[in-house]
Amino acid sequence: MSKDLMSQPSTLLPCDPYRIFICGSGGDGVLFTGKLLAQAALRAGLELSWLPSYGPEMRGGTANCSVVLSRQVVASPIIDQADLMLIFNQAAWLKYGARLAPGGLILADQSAFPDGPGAVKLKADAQIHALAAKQEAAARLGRNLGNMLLLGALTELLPLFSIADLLQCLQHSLAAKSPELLELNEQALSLGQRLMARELRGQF
Amino acid sequence: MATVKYERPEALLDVPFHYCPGCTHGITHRLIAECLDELLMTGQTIAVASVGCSVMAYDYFACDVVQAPHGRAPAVATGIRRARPDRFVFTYQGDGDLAAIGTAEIIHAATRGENITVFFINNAIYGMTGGQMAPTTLEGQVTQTTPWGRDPAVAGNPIKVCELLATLDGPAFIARVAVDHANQIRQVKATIKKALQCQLERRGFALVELLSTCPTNWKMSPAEAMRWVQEHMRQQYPVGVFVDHLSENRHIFQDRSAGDQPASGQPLPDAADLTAKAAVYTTKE
Amino acid sequence: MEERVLMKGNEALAEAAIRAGCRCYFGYPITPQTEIAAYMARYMPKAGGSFVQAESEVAAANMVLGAAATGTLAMTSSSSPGISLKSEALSYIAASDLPALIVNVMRAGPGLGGIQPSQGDYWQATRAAGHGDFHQLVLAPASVQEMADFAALAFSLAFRWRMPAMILADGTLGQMMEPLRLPARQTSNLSDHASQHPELNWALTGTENQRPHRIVNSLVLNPAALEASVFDRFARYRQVQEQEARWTYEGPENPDILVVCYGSVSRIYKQAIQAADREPGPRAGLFRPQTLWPFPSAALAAKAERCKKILVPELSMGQFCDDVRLATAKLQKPVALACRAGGQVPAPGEALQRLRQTWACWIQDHEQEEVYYGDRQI
Repeated sequence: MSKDLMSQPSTLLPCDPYRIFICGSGGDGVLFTGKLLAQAALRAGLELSWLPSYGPEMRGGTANCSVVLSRQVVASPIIDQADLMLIFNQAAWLKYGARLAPGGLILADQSAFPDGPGAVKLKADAQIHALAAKQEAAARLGRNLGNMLLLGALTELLPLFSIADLLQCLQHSLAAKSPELLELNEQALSLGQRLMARELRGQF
Repeated sequence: MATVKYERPEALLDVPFHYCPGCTHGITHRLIAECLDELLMTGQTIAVASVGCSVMAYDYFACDVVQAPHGRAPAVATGIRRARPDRFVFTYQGDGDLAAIGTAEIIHAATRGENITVFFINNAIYGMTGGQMAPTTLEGQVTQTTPWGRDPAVAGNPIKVCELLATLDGPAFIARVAVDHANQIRQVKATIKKALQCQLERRGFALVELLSTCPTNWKMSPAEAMRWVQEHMRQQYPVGVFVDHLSENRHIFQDRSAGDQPASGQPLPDAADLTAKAAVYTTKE
Repeated sequence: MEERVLMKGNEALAEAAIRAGCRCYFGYPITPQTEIAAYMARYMPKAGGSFVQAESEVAAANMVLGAAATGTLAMTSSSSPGISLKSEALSYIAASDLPALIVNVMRAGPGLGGIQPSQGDYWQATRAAGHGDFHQLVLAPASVQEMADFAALAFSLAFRWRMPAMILADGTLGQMMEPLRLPARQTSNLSDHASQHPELNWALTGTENQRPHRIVNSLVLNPAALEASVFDRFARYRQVQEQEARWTYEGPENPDILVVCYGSVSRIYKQAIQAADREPGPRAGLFRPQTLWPFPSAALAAKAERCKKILVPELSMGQFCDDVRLATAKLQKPVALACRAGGQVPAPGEALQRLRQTWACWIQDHEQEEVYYGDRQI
């Protein structure tokens, strides 16, 4: 992916509607990750829907949310297949993995695949990427920011949104709370991007 | 030669009451109306009529009136007060309405300290439906639904509303009076007026419990009914001031004439005794 | 024009209600509508209004009764089990000819049921919101934009017709976020709303010793007088039915299948119809009532006349289908019903399958009617 393409504000969708499913456990930042993507889409002038799982599920159990992006007003906020899945742990992978659409993309924390992503049987044309996102975030930033690392990695994989796009949205929601937190999130996003770039270089 | 002018208060409309002979609703309506007149509140007041014999109070009072579902008058009053903080609101509720079906509403309006005035008519019976047991029915009292007298083992014990609400931090004024003798009228009126003044001064929640008669359903003559309040209801429900943030003065009324001394001749309890009794009451069993 | 903002349906509704001039909110927490109460707690005081977390749904609805009696824009919100508790006050509000907004973000029942989306309160909302002969307006949004737009619409209709209005949403609409444009802000003060609107000549504002007292009342002990008041109210309801039915239709002029549904279900079937249009097979159109009472019967009949078969998907057991059948009874079109319950929501794939199945049935037998219970066909 060229740097030029990434830095351009882009509303390029791999397909329309583009269905994103984010799943993990309470505390992974599943809903916030989805909100950030939704806000970035809003800024990019896209139509979208964001639908969370709600209720007791959120308290310690599994959490998920669906984000649908489109150039037209989104028809169904409820999806049965996802073109992009962000997966935070193995339980989420086992529960929701089958929802991946043909040709879809999985971006996961490596804890989702104890035997490595290579051991996973995928549908035709599907792609899978796993990063030690949570581990790296804890080790290098001392924070539970695995979700931001994954989003940073996503910017390297897809020309959906740039890190600058995401940061502008973060500024909106985090600036009031603490400038340090914003700084940390920025570091996490760019760390994720670098890790994914390294991963991609390794693959090719 | 002096002339005494006895007129209808302006806060009462020229509509004949529908109440039974000897019922004290009429006296209480009049005293409230006199106080509204004297405090110049009528034009700024919205009253809440509740379900029971007094439901048609909306035809008698000259102020605007809304009629509330059974027990919900304090919630309806809360809605009015919050919508129109510049207006005064009073509810007029019976014992079934306030102390049975509307228990949650009265307790929470009181604990929120809603700036409303509640007139609580306690006649120890459901009047409108024909004389069933009320939450305030006395132990042993015969009603349509306690045909052999109220047995606490089966039907529970009478609720002392003033004592109960006095445990809350919200109320600004809580008092109990008895509409059981001509010599009580001044005290009853002064108490009603104080409860309305409480609202005028925006002190918060005020409630006056009025021990009242129901000769029809008690199956007594009006005079017997008055005596029954004096001899029985006052025993269970001592008159007095339980909360008074206006003067910080809690006391049991002492200005009673010999005519309304309890038949038992027991000395009147003071406020400290009452509190102790309440403690015993709640910890029994 | 207002810029697009991203909000949850519950929050959009709350903000739009404040903008519409609502100055009293009384509520009680229950999933999945609690965001409305939380939003109101934070922002209603800033708008100069009043928020009370009531001791119960019963009390909250009766607070609305009191505030509405003063001519103030007042509302409450809840989810299914809480709405049952509000039904007492709803009946009194309707009987007292008061305008008020009640929001039901439906969850699955009966009983405590579950917390996932449902449409199981359709009968309750449109048929039996409380005891006695009365109706309430029922608006059914299908997007976050409509959650906001219908708040203002509900208040305006409620005041025009002096009757309670319910927004009947579900957990999906309450919890989801979508971009929307918020409606313009109406100024309204607690104390002068009724005085600025002289047409509210019923509002309890205090006589100021200037006029006869007003009574807001639902007790009429004389049967002849009570009958007359009910007849009058139903004459008004007939006008509402003639003037206020709202709906949308998307699809060909002569659809093979007419899909009739409301709320979030219509979004799912819209997706399925778009998918079906890309392949050979039946052409489907989507008829979506925006008002459930009054039900857009005439408009639906006109559309149904041009179709071959009607498919009614709903998150309930045929409650909504009753009204579709009533509206189209004379046409004798076969009606297929697709039920989900318990908080189960069909995905677009299931919706597409229902379209195909019901068309396959029609090809076999032009009069066949079928019912789909989730994946079960009976």
